[in-house]
Amino acid sequence: MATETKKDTRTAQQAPTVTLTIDGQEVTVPKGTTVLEAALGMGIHVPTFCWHPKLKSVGACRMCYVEIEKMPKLAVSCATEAMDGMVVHTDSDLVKRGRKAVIEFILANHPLDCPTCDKGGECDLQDLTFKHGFDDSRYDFLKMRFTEGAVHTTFDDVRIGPEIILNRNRCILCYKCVRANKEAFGEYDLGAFERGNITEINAAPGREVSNPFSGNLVEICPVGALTNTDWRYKIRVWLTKQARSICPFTSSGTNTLLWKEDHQQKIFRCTSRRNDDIDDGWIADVTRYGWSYVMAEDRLQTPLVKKEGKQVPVSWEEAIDLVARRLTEIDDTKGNVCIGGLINPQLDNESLHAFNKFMRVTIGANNVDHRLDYPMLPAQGDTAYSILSSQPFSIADIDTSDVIVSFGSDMLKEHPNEYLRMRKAYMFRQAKVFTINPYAVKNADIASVDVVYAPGTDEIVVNAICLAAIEEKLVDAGRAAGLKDKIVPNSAAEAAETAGVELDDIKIIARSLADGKQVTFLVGELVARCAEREPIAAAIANLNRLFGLTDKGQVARLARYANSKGAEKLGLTPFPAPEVKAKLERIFGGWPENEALTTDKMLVQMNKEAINAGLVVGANPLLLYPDREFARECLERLDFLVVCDSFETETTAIADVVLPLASWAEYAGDYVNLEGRTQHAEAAIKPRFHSRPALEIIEQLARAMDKPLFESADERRREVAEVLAAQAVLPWPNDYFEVSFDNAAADSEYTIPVFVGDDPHHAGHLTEKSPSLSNFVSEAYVEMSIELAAKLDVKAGDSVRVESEAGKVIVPVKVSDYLDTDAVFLPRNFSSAQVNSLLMRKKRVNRVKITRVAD
Amino acid sequence: MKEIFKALGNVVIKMPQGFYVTFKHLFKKPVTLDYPRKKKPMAPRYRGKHYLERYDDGTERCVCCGLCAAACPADAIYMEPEETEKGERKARVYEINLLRCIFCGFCEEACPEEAIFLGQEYEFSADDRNKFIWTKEDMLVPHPRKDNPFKKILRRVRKVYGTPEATR
Amino acid sequence: MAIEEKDLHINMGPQHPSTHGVLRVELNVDGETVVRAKPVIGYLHTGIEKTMESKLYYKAIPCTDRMDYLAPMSNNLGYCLAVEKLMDIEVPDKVKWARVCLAELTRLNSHLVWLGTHALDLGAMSMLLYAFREREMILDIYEACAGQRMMSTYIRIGGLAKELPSDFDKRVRQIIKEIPDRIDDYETLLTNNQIFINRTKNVAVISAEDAINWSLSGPMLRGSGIKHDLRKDNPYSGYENFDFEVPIGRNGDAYDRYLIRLEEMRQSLRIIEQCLDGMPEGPFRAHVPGVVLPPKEDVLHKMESMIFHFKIITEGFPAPKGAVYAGIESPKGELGFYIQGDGSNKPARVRVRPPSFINLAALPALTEGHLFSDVVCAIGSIDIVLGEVDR
Repeated sequence: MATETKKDTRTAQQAPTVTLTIDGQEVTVPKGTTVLEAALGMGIHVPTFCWHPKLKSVGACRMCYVEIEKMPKLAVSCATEAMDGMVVHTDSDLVKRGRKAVIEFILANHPLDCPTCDKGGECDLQDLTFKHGFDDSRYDFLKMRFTEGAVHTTFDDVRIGPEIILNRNRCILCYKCVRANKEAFGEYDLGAFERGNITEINAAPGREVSNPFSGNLVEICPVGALTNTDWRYKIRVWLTKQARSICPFTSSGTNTLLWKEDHQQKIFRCTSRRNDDIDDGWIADVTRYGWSYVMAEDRLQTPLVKKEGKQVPVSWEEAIDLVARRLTEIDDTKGNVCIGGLINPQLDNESLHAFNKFMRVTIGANNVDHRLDYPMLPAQGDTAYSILSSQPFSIADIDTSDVIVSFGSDMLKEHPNEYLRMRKAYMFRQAKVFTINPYAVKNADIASVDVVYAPGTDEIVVNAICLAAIEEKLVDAGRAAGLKDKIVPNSAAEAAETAGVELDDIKIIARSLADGKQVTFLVGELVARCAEREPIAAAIANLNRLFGLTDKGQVARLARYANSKGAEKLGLTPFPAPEVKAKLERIFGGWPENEALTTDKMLVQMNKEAINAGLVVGANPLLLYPDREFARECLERLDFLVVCDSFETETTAIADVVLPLASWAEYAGDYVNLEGRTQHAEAAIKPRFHSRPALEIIEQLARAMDKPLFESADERRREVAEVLAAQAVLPWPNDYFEVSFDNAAADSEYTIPVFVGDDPHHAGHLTEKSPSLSNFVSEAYVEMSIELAAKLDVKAGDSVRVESEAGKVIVPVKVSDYLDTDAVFLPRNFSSAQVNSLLMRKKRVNRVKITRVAD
Repeated sequence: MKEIFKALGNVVIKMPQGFYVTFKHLFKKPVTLDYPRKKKPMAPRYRGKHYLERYDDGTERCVCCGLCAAACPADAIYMEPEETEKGERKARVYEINLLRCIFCGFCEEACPEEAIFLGQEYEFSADDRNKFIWTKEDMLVPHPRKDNPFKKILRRVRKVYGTPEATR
Repeated sequence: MAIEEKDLHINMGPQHPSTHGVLRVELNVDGETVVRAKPVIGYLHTGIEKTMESKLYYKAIPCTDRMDYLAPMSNNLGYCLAVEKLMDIEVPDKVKWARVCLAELTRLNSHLVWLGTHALDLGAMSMLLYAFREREMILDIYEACAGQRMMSTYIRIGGLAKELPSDFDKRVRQIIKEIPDRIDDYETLLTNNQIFINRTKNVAVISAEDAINWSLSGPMLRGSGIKHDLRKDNPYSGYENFDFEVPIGRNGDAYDRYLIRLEEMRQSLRIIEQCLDGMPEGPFRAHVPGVVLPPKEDVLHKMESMIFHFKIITEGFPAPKGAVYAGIESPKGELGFYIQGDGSNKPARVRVRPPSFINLAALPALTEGHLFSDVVCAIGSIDIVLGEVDR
């Protein structure tokens, strides 16, 4: 059986071509294209079950039969390579008979489940039977039936994962799920077992299908063999409508469809909307199941105002009036600088811009930031970190890169979409992948070299690569001039030793970076969230300059949230890029005088009672700010705190006024993904309960303060478009940065480095309210390697006390086979475990000790 | 002149013949029924008030597949499925809005589980709009059922894994 | 003060017993003479054509029932023939025969109601009772076939909704046996009734030329002596296999139309009898995968049939691009359906040529210059059903 690698069109143009005739039309395609792809490219419908554009062909279903002249039998077009002079018929009588026969065979054992099957109405098998089959059966024997031993339900459904139900009777063995799992996601928790008539798809023995992309398996299933529990027995597909939406949980802005029903005002599920530039049709489970927090019943329903120490529901008018009055009061008595504003970068462009204008014009203070979970942000704008963050990036370019480096990034947890792109480049184009991280990550399995360096030595590793390149003379000597003096240590060997990595690995990476034709160098959250991010960014800037990476690829720090890039481009930071600032100054008619404060500085000022009022929109700093106690202390000192959120959170609990915020699915908005691509998300339903979109709240506030923000919606949109059009990319400097290094000694008592981030199935503070995602992971854990677990004498599931200087949490242990150092990982998404209380904002590496809790 | 004679003939001869026809009917049995004291039996196919069938063991036949609602030209049917403890699909809500229903019988024709039928009852006027929304409870036949089903049922088991010839 | 001489303006309807529904006629009368008569329609407009365009092909059938509710089967037939023509479906002979039989029963039904109400308008009360009594027998057959007495929805695309009931033959033969005598009774009551003759003869006259120019059809046209009947001139659904006469009138007045309708009832009975005698054996539906529902028993036991059933019910079937017109001779005249398919599962355009509507347009021609009291007779003799006029 031929297995064709899908060729990318860019290189295919240079490749030799073949010319063949399909249904009387001549077509020229690159060599290696299959007949099926050639036909589909011409717009000829060829039915398939097992073929998927993003997977390798297997020819399992035989549905794509075509007649090729001079071939003795019908040919399986998805596995037949197009050849010069082929004459193909896709619609001859023989082909029609062949398809009929295939359908007949497939249906011979198919149960009569259409009435109960959730796939009914969007089922490929139904559609193709209707189109190509016959409406009567010749078989009168009993159908094969899989049952699950003692757990015998009427429809023989088996739950094989937190959100997946398998019905093997309906399976037509196209193997799409198994192949996608393996080829696209690199997961092996689903497989095909047994042979012949009793072949079945099932979860791997003892495993459940819970990988972070498992929802895609359901979506690509051509029949109802794999179904989702969140869609199970809820509604028929033809009753729903689709809203074209955008994923609000990841920064890629993967395109999604929200399936909604207008009369009930309910969302029923979320599926992918293939956009090859972004997502290849695969979406992460957090995207797929995250919507269900929108439909949660415990959402904030009305505004709450603290009266005599208790939050009581009030009307919107009262709440808005109160907020406007108090803000004006504080403004009048203490000065506008005494008001700080934090906004969640998951909100849409117009909300962000309105917030910016509200803070900088209506209030007149420069205290605006969207980076809530990064400690110790730089105090000015033109730093290496700002330059690195502003660099352009293209997801599709990952596909064509031959060298891909992910540095300081747990891609699976932070950037699932780019994680899949890396896998795709590796699987289909044999790209070299390197991972450089302070702890082992999931994509290490595709990495040519997986470098795990000692936590806290990030810049040293980067320096080591530079030094190795200079020492090995891999780069132009002129180019390298001056670098060696500016960085520490002096030799690659020394650097490698400091970082605790193999020098050979570093050399391989250096060579690949130097030789690579197109290099993608990705920098992730482990760098961004690190208190010492500036020297690391400087080291990366040096690396970029040394290897000339931007000239032959891309170097980018990946934005983390759905609209982080938008917030940056709209100037939601204390120090917007110069052009952005100029545009904003013109629109705002001036710029606040006071010193621009970052999140961090704002908190410090709050602590000093120099800021007396806070406005927090859609964010939960108490859960996400990497120093919980500090954040709490600061926010509690405020005279007046307004928090807008969809749920009651830690932060709303200490607020004076809580305003219910509508979720992204309840209003239409534009989002800028990490590439800088602006995408529109349609509203699926009306805002639930009495929640309102952030934009509406901010505009009402401004109106209540007698300073309306915009004259019209058109003006608002024009302003946003104008600011977005500004050039926000900062140029790389013409010289190398100095990179110094100060290796902090580890404490004696606290030895285990701890990393806090998002669980692969969660993002931010809202997804824990999604019942579907809670089925995957519903509580915090401490993830550790097998070796560390053995050393600490704990097993998976044991409760342990994780203690740091700052605080402690008690969480269960999760043992991961891919972690192989002492570092542990804790997810920050769960309010039940206050994981960020372990962290201290000034510390570069937080270390903990772990002890077992006696039963 | 001829016209006048003909008219005269009509009045004298033909019209009394007509009166005789009317007069004859005085002695005929009336064709009308003393409704509502007496009722006419409806045809077996009569499309009256809907009822939901059960299997012989009393479980509901309806699996809430939505075909009846899809076939309904008046969009009178609303349903919401749910999962039973055994993992089966069944209707949690099944409502027919009589005020919309046009009694075309498409639901009966569409039903792939032989669950919904249109019965013989036609007297269901009410004084409140809400009473015209029939719920599942209103329509399910009692179990054990008191009378024979009006309409023939072709499949008596819940799940078939073959044709009748094969199961025989 | 000068008195201005003007015509008297009278609104007849829309709530008037003799307008057979919600027809309003704006009349200008000069004394007893009608100067101007203007039918005003639309009071029963339900947007049936547009509704049909928003529905799957098979779901539009109940809409047709509600146009001419006195002849539901004819409407069903006209629509289904049009769709079958569009889809290029040939139905089995049994279906054709059964459809002819039902369509002729429908003609009886419609003419009986017309006769009863028309006679009632002209003062003959007992006719209404007799005609409705006989109609009851036909409605019982509808009920036995389809389950409903008026909104039958029995004729479907590609066949019939269900097999003909087992006692169909017996019931219809009962009709064939009884109704001729009853028609004779009607004749005894009306044909030579001098009052009736005076009210109808030379009333609402329309010449053959005018009838053609007004595009009239059905008994309205044939009453003026034009021998035009689609069943003969453009046979559909197997009418060419039946032997019957097309009666025509001479004067084109209300009385001739009365005679024609009575004769048509007799001819219908002839056709029905031939139908019953020659009813072929066979399936009650054509076997057209993807368009016609598979048999219910197969749906319950065979996967393929289940899928086809499921898809047809939920999505219908896509009709090819193109437009068709299918006309039938409904009791009131030529009932035509023009359907435009656009390749989707819903018609792009449905246009009905309703005989009542077009015949009604001739009302001014029938009444202007005549006596005011003849308007009632004219409306009655046109035989309108407002459900069809307004759609």
